[in-house]
Amino acid sequence: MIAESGAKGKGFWRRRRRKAEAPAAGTPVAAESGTASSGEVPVAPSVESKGDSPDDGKGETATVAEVDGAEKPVEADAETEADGNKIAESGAAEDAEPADPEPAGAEGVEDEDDPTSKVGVVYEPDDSPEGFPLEYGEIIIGLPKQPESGKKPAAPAAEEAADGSAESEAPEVDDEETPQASAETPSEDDAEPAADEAAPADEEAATSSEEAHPEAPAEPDAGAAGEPDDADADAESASEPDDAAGSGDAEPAAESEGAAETASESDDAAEPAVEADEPAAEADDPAEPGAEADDPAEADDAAGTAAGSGDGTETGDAAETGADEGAESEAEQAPEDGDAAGAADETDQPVAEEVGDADAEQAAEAEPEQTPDAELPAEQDAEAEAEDVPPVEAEERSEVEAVEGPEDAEASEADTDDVPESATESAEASDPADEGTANDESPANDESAASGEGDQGAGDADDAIGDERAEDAGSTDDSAGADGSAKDESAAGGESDEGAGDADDVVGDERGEDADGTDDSAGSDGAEGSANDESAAGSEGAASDEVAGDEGEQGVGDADDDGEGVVAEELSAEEAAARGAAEQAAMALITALMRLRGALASSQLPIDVVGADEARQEQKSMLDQLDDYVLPRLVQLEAPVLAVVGGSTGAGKSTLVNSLIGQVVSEPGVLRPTTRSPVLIHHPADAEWFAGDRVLPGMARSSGDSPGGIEGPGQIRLVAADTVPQGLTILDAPDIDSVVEANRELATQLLAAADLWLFVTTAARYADAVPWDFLQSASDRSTAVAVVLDRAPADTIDDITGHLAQMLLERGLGDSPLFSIKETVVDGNGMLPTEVVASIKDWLIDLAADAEARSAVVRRTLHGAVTAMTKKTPAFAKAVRAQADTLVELRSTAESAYDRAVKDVAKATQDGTMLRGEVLARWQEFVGTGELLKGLQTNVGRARDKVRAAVVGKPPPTRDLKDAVESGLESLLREHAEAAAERAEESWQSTAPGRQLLATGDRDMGRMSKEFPAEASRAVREWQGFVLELVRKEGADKRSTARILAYGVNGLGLALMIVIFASTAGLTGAEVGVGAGTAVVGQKLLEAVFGDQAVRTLATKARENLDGRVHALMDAEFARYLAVLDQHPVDSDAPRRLTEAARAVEDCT
Amino acid sequence: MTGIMETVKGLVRGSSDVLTKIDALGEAAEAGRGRLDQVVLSEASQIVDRASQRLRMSGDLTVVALAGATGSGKSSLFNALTGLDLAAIGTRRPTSSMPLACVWGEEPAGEVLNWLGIPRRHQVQHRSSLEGAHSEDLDGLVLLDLPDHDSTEVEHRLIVDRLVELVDLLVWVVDPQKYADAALHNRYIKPFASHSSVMVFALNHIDKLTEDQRKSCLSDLTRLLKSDGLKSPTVVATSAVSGDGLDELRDLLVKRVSNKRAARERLAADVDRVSDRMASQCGNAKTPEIAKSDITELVDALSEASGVPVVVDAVRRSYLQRARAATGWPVTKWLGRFRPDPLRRLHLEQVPRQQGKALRKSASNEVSIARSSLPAATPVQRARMDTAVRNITNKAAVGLSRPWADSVRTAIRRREESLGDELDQAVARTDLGASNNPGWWGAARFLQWLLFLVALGGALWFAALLVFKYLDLEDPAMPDWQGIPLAAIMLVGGVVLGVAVSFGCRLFAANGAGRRSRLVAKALRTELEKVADSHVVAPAREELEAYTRCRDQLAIARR
Repeated sequence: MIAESGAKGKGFWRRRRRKAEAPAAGTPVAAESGTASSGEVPVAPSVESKGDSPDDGKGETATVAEVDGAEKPVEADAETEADGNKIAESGAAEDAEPADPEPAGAEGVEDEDDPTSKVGVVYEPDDSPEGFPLEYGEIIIGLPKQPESGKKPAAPAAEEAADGSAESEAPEVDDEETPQASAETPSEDDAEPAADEAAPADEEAATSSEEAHPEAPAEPDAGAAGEPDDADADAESASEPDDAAGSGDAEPAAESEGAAETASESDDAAEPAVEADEPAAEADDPAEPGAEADDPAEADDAAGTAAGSGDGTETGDAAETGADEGAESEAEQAPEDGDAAGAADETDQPVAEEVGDADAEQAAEAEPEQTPDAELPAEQDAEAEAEDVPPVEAEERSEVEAVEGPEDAEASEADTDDVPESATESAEASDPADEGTANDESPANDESAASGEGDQGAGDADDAIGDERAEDAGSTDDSAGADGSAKDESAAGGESDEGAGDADDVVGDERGEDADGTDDSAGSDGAEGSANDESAAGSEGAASDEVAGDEGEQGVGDADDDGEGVVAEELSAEEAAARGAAEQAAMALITALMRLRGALASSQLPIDVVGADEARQEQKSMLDQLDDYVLPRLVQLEAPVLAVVGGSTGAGKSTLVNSLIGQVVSEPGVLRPTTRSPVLIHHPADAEWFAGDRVLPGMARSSGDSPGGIEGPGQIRLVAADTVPQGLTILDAPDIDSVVEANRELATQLLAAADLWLFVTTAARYADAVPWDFLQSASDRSTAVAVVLDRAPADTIDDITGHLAQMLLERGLGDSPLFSIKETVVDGNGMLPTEVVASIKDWLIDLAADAEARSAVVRRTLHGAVTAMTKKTPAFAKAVRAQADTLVELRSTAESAYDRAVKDVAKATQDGTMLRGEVLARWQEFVGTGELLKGLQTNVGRARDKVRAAVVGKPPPTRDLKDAVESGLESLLREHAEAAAERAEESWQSTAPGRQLLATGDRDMGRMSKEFPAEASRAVREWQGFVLELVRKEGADKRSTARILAYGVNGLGLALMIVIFASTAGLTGAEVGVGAGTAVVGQKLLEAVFGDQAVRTLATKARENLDGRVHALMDAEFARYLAVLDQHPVDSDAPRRLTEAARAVEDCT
Repeated sequence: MTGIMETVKGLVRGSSDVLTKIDALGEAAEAGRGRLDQVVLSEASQIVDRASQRLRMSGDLTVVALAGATGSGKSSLFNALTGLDLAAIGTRRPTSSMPLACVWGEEPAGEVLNWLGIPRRHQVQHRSSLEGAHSEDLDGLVLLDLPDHDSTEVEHRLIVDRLVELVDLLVWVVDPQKYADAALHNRYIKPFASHSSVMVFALNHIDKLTEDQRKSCLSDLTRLLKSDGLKSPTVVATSAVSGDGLDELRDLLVKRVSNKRAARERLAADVDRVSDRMASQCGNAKTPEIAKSDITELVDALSEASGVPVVVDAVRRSYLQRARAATGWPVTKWLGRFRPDPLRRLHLEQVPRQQGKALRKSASNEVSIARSSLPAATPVQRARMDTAVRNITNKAAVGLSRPWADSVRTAIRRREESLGDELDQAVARTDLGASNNPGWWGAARFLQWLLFLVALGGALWFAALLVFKYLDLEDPAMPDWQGIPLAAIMLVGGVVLGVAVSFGCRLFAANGAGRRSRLVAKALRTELEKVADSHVVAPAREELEAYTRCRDQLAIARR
């Protein structure tokens, strides 16, 4: 059982996680449940605590129940199945009730109960699916709903527990009684009922599979809690099972079937009854597993497919195989084995779940191990049951269970065995190691208990504890470790409670739940749990003392007897570890959120791409909400509920607030908008919460008492008023729709920081589009909202209220409380008559008075906010990525413009005319006078020019080759720099982001920079220097030849020239045109001196060098664009960080 | 556009000023088409269309619409003004989903109502249903009750958005709860700040306020409206329930209806709004001039790039060569045949004169002139040409707003693509005078040949003398001149004179070549100027003209 529970717990968590991780795969319901139950551990501790607390409160009982259940469930399941689901349900319900009056009269009770079979039905079905209605309902239920569903299970349990406790006060007596009772009642009735319950549970689970799941976590706990107490009181008697069954009904599902089988077996023996009860209890526990199992089945698939992308499939297979095995084992083992099988099934499933979870988390590593585990459990369960369990359970239940005990024991053992495995598996994943040890220890406890059976009840309790611990361990593994500690504590508490008295138990159960709830929520739970654990473990006596339970003493005795001291220590160690794990989990979420916050804050959106504005707003709103609400709320979950009164301008928010408070704290008026700075009204005792910058850290505080004072924007006025119930704070926010933009922004920010919206609208406004946008967003992130229809004309109030209610329903806010206030005359102080606002006031007071309701509101809104944030993050990340992409694109367009310039220049210099000309010019320089060439190229022209000058009377244009080349290159560079700038600017100008960037840059981005001409000419000169150097090296040994050519062989040269010229002239008229004719001659001569190849090489080298310089020049130009881009930095890594952070947050929820 | 306006004129009394504005706006939009922002342009043409439609309809009707938020009491006010219980008044929001119209007087309003898109069953003719009421003064009023603009019903908002653009006078019905809503101010008031004269604000539900509250509320509303940009907002406090302020509102309507200027004012306001936006895009700078010196610079670069110097040089050398061939000393001039004609090398010599003339006459001649073998412009030359074009572009766009500067640049660049080919064609179709030989060449040639023959005669004479002497025949009498035998004179004189004439002709030819090349250079330049004009200057001027027109018309429209 323990193993199962643990497995379940784990599976549960994991499932949750998976779902959280893979929203697509997980059903919404499941997700909700997950949030409510486990996933929230960090977020909404209360939920967990509830779960835990029940365990705790029930702890003992639960443990017992679980143990029993684990054992019996199998049997019961078998029977149940046979019996029929309906019967099972009724039976369960009946059982629960009968248990209250008399454990013994179980049978008779059953019949009676059948008609009353409310418990099971009430709880599970419909409430849960809609997260809000359920939780909220329950909470508020303190007012309306509680009587119907929520409390019933607990109350009966309590009553039963009380009864039981009365009896159980003497543990020994309890044991005796319980045996009897169990023997009598349980036997058939209990067994059947249990089976029935289980069956119903199955049915329900089947029917409302998904729905049940969500509830399962929370309710099961409650049910378990209720049951445990009963169980304790009854000492395993039927009553407990009933409760358990009642609570468990919803959950049991598959397990219940196994329980039914066990039940049948149990029927045979007197003990069986007890067992049956236990089974029932187990069934409950199983129920969870079952529920989980159902979920798991789905979850596994889903998780397998979705979460464990790669691993998932394997794990999923493993899970399936495990399930299959379990199924097979069930089929084969039949009744006896049936239990084991059932257990095995359960265990398998949990394991499978765990595996899945582990896979999700641990990926490949976990899988291989887990799969083996999954297989093993089945076998081990069977074996373990046969071997290990018998002794322990036999001892524990010795008297009662004698016969069946073994089986149960086996089952439990099997469970325990499984648990360890699972634990180990899970340990691999994360905390499991501790748990694994815990599990191991737990058996020890059981044994010890068995040994020191003097206190059977105690022993049972111990067993139960052990089981619980095991379960806890399992759960801790799954959830966060916090649960584990909580459960441990609860177990201890439960024991103590039981010991103390049944009556106490009853209360204790509830308390246990509450305590658990608080423990979980606060994290102080961990401390308490540890304390309990420690006490139980280190000095059980002390623990018991602390618990103040008779059982505690017994437990101590047992512990002593068992010599569990060691175990206890181990347990304590485990608990400590678990506690640490719990804290870690809570911290993990905060850490993940902090990471998300960091990623958000570091994301930059400097570019005005489409959607950038929205993304910026999104960024701001998410950051604000994290700072203003989510983080502070997570750290201090016990802080008062912050109810923000928001709504349209002129809706009467301030008047409403004043009327609610009974004093004028916010000045109403006819001028719109009225309230410009928010007013926060709190109970004097709550002042510490708000004086600092815990929430809304960005807003200064002022405590002026002047209504409508002169607070600047961004200031909050704090007003202490004892008319505000403690634990609740009211914040009067500015309007959401007036022309004053600051008001709209502030209101949006404040509403995002609210635990609860009190949304005010009017008869004239309720169809306005703007408020509905807000309400829609509240609906989307499941914020708790109460709507107030203000200023409704008396004659049409009903009509309008109905219409508004319909609109709310259509938009998914059908569960929000709706208050309507008639348009009335305000009194002298501008307040509404008391009776008009009474309904709202009462509601608020009730809410403030009900800690659970408060925490449910907080949890719901908090979880909604976190979930919405994780959902919004991908879109935001996309927007950030779009920024980076835009920048990259802009950069590349500008870059390509300059690349093209470089290429064009290279191409222009490639045809050789310019380069060879340049080389020639350098050659002439090098050769010195270069008479021949110069003469050739200039003298002819000079004579002609002289003639022309004589005729025309104009001086001839002096055209020096060097200058021509130089200016030619320069103008080439200038032109292409200009063209590139123009291209780049044009491409940027054609897009909105580009225009934005250009606006921030230089005014003349479209022209070459002013320095460029100078730079270009310097580069050209340097390049010429380079070419000269090149020619000098190349021509060192050919200098003399050249001189000969130049000086001595004029005639030859001339002739050569003529020949070359003649030949060239016919062929390349183009070149004749280019170099004014003579350059070609020089070039030819040059080639004659150096050889054609050498000239070509020189030209190539010269060009490469030139290309490099051109590149550098263009790069310098391009740098202007880069500088503009650098002014708008976008971290290209931000989207990844955002996505990862969001995933981490999802993992923690 | 103008035609429509002509037909419309007179239908609306005293509307000439509005017509002028609308005309100007239409012209400006036309001039800006393809250059200014498309959204603004289409808005402008929409307004022009709408104005012409509205002006064509009865100018005696004044369309007034009651608009406002849901629950502000539009329908109550409508009913109060009509004195009928026409509009459904409800408590559920939103109430009215379709516009409702009531027409006072006999003036046929069907056309207007159709134009407004009011379904027939939502129209009421006031005269028929209201007897005896003092409604004469409201004759010509078409009162509309619009749906709300701020409810969750998007459809309502769309109807309001459409009708707000069409009606002549807008009465915004606001109430103390909602008068400061962002939905109203940001969406309908601020964008229509120029429509101050055709908007009236009715603060309804004042019966729910005390006197003091009423006053402060009104002043707050006025303050808000002024901060929205309305110059002098007209605000009336009304209450459909108590009847307060209804008379005031009614009087206001009577005034507007009777002077029948609402439609024109509305249209004028529309024109002002859009022409203001256009003007902010168009800019108001002085039209830049394209200076002569810039064009000269451009042509210089073009001629450089198109190889004009090469051609001119070729022409000169070709002339010289041909002159030498024609007038050279016959004994040696055959050597010149071995040199290729420079023009032929450039593939330019074959254009006969007549063909060249024909080509010049029809520039768009379908005869595709073979591309010349002029050397392709070097990269440097091209770069200089591009720089020259860019310079002139920048100068043509100096001071212009961005859209116009872009349009100038685009217009030039569009033609720049074909500039290279165009330049080559220009050179090719220019008459280089390759086949146009001066007359004195013939004379010179005749002289050369004559001298050559004389020299030859002298030579032959000497040869004959030698033959006689060899045969020992009797020496024919050798006439002489001052002792010099005639044959010697003929021979030497012929040769010497021939050479001398040859040199002399060369001098003349050099002169002629210079003159010819100058002529050709001039002709080429003329051609290039044409190209520069058609490809660079004209497109730029066209844009600048459009800019001038747009700017001037906008100034008229905004007057």
